[in-house]
Amino acid sequence: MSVGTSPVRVDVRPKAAGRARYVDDLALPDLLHAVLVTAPAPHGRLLALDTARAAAAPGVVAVLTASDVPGENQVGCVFPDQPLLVEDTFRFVGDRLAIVVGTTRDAAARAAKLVEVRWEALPVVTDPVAALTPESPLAHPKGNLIAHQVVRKGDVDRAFADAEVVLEGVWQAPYQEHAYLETNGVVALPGADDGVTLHVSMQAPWYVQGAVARALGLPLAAVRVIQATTGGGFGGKEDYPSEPAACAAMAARLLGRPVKLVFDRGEDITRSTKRHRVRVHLRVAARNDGTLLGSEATLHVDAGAYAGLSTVVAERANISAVGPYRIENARVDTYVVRTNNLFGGAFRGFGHPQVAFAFESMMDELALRLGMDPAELRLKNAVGPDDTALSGQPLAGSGPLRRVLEEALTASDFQARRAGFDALNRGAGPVRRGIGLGYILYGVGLHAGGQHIEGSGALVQILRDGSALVAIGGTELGQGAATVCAQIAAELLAVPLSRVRALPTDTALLPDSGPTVASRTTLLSGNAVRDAATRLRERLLPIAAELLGVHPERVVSGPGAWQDPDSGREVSTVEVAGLAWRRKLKLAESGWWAPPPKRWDTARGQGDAYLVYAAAAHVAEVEVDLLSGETRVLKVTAVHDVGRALHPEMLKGQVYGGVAQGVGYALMEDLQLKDGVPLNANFTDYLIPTALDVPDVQIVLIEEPFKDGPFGAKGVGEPSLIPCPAAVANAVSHACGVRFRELPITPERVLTATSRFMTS
Amino acid sequence: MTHDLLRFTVNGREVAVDAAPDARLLDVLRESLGLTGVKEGCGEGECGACAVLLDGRLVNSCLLPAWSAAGGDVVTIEAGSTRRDLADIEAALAETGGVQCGFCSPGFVLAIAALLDANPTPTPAEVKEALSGNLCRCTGYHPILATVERLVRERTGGVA
Amino acid sequence: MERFWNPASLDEALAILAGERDAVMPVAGGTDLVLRLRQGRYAPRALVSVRHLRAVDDGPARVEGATLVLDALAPLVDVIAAPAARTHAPELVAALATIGSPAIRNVATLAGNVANASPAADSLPPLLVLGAEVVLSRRGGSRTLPLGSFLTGPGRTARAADELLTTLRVPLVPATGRRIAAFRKFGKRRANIIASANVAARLQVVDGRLGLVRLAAGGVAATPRRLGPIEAALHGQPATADLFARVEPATLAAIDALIHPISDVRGGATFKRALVLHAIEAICARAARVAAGEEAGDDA
Repeated sequence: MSVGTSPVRVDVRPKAAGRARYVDDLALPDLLHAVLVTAPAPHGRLLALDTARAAAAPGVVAVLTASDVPGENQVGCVFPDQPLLVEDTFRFVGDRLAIVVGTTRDAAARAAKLVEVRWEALPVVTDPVAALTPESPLAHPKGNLIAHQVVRKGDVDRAFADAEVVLEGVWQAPYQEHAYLETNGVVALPGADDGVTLHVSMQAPWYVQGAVARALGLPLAAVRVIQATTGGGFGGKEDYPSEPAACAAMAARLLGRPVKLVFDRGEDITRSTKRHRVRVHLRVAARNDGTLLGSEATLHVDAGAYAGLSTVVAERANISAVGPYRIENARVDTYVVRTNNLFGGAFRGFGHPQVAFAFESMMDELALRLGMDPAELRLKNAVGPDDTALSGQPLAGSGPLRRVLEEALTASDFQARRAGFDALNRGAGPVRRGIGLGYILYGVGLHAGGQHIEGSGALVQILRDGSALVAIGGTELGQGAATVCAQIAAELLAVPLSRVRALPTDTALLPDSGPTVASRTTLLSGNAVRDAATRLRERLLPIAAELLGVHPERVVSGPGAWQDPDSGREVSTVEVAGLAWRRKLKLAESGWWAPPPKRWDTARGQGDAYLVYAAAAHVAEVEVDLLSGETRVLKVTAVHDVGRALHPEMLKGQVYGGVAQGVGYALMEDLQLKDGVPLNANFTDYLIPTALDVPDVQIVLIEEPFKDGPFGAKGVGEPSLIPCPAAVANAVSHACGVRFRELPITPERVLTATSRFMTS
Repeated sequence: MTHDLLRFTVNGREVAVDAAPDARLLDVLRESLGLTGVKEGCGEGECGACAVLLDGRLVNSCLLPAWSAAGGDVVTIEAGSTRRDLADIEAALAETGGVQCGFCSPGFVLAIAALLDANPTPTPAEVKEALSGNLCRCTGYHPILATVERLVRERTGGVA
Repeated sequence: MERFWNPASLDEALAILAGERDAVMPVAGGTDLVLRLRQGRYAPRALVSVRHLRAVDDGPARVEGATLVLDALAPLVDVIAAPAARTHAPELVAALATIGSPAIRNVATLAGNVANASPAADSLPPLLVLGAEVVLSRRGGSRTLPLGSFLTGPGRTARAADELLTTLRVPLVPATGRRIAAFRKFGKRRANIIASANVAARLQVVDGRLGLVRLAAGGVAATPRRLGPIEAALHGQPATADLFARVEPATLAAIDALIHPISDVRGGATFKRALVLHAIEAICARAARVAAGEEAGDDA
């Protein structure tokens, strides 16, 4: 058995040895290096761009601008609102003005400083609420409102009229920078014909293919995109890499030489996408006994100047805005707004962490108001299998729901610990303890609005020596996609995992399989592998039966062999594969999996939003020092509904990583902007957790197989993060005896709320 | 203008490189010597992905002037092919879930090597402190700390 | 840049500095300087490396008579481990242990940290409460300055272009009563940060009262500085649980003339001020606990 065990991952030995080649490690003959010139300010009209001095600088081969774009100067991921290279107006600090190409990166970087930009300032739009008023200047000619998404369910006004208690508040969720250790990078090679091949650090090869084809005016078939070993993504390499890729491809095509473009850290933080800043205005109506009657949410999602993926992020935030609770009456209005701030995009959780922070906070505040235990309030309202999600989608078939919450409360000893901390905090000392809960229901896979890309392919081969090859449409970012898919193939083909090789994702091998996002990869790519490998298995099994001399129905498989359990005899995979080869059976299959279409009513935000849901609950324990404002997260208990853990240790790795990112978001990741300009686009002052900052983590995995998942698996990439900031924020609020409604809860925010020296 | 070549030892081999006066050790290792296992993660000495051993001590090669290493003994992750201690750490990291995207891994291998050389039986707090200059965004650190625990157990024969 | 010098001795390094004057900068670990060079902050014609040089022959810290002599050219990791430093300057050792990361501490030096004179430099508040003097060497001689006089502004010192900071001299204070030698660094995470503010304290609790009182704060003014008037208010006071409450009015009255924090990415001005005040509050609480025998001091 491979599935369900934790063998060594297929990709890790070369990585640990420093032999894995990431984009910047790729060496090629005649390689040129590209450096981008970007906007001098967040919003301005370009009057003149003089590239002569730069072009004449030592080591420079060319300086390319908008007029050099061979195809369409358009790179907008969903809406065509974004130029690849600026023609007349730049709208955020990462907007590209020119591509400087040189024989070394240093030469190109020095020359980039010689590009002369004459421009005039335009008003900088920085506040998404103000941006929607009629007086606001425009961040973009298409207007400041990109989209208005809604949920309309039941009768919200009646619910508020009937309520015994109404609570209202505004929560502010900030930017988060992905801080993958490997920055964005791409190498583009021109083909002998008009085509181009790219090696990219990325999550969405087919997005890159599309963007490059568009910018170069090529058919998609002329653009081949191959996964480079990728040093982390977390959503930050979903849509963004298409932009530097199109730049590098353009340069490669025009100059006839390979071009490498790699960002340094400051460039990457400034230019690439961020978790959206979201302002969440909540109103909740309840009875005195804690029954939730209705909820109203107004979200302002700060997209930055270009739409990018913001409407898609907003879709998830919109439908997740009121938590995993039974709410018959809900009104959600999600405004996706343009500003001249940073570029909002995908980041693990995709809008859900922000709204979970707000709503889970609101639940604690409601509990406080009602004099109820926060766990009791949640248990009272938590959805069960007979209920529907906010979208109206039935939850039967979505596995353990309340049980996840109950297990979290038990495993963390929530109520007892809470009472203990309450007693402790009544003492006089400056050190306070707190415990907080975050409970979410996550929709696995792409929202119904994205179902036109929800399909994924795979290629599986078994070779004549009984080894196997797997290629999937999902990308290996470090999360283990290659391994889990190799395990599925190994399982079905009776090949030991050590004899399976996974190929880098390559658009030349597979049809468009969508992006590696939405915790969909095990599900989609896994099912595609299962599809292909099952057909191969059906071809191999009769051969094994023949060699064993038994009826095919009697045969079972294990790693490296097929067996007849009755006699105990077995025949090796090597022998079976060898014979299948000699008989010229087809030993390669392509697989595909796409879920059935979902019905969805955009006007009301109702329907089958997701394939299935997965509940998750985190409980955080913190210690706060009121003299310094510093918070230590001591422990997080993480309970996850995973369907089936195909590789338990790798899955736990996702939880450890998600918790660390959640702790960072809650307490220390503070991307500061002044009038659209980031002040700390570097690792010195944008702080992510170190080994000293992460809590002890206790992980509880609940396995109730999901009928449509490969071997019952669901997805955990994002649920592993989403409840954590909510839990930590609730814990800090509990410890301090004040409610925090803005993240990160830095020492300064703690002292501002609690220190007498902040007011005197 | 003529100048000397920069001479030092890398992974047991003497090298002589033509290095600019303001080159960083990182640039010389990656570009002049092709040792691409040494990574640039931030260029500010914050992430540790560029860490190497210089005269037995862990340093961030992105902040060390290359010429400051003249006459020195540099060890990079590539020494894992000849040094058993590094190879053992790499294997343990790979087997204990300590590697996900892998970009931070070479730096961690060297940081762990430096730690265990100086302190063969570190406490958990000492381990975290020793690794506090290496950032990882994928693993949340726990599997890496478990790796060190396993190595200490192996090296001390189970007596910690 | 044209040249990188690797002198074989201190004399050779000083000769190069004397010859090149403003065109050459000394570099020890380089962990601050290399960054500034790449950011274009400085553009010297040459660098002269002192990384392999030492100013003191037999170890980074030793006692000469009534003076602790620290080798400013030794890597911080070695100063942290030196018994004489740990015994006589524990607040400095605590501070050095928070600078950067292990890899940084393996090459960074006191010479760099002090001569760089960042307002938030962690070595400076402890050195100020220790009453340290800096020794500046040049070809043919040296001079000694009190640290407070050496620091002239944010990132600015009295070091001439041909001088190298080679040693730090700390006058040893006779031990009486119970000693408190503390350092506190404030920031947004537990490792590898530039301080929002930092505070060092050296106190002696004698017969239940505060004898020696030295306090210094960093990150809250153009240079780190001693908090003289607050020291005076505390001096002689009984170290009891209400100690801070008694000196709070005087502290609040004095603080704004002593520190002038600015709002930046590491925090707002009011916040930094609050950190310093709370640090003093915590030190007073500690002194009371030590005086009451509830807690040990930082005795040698």
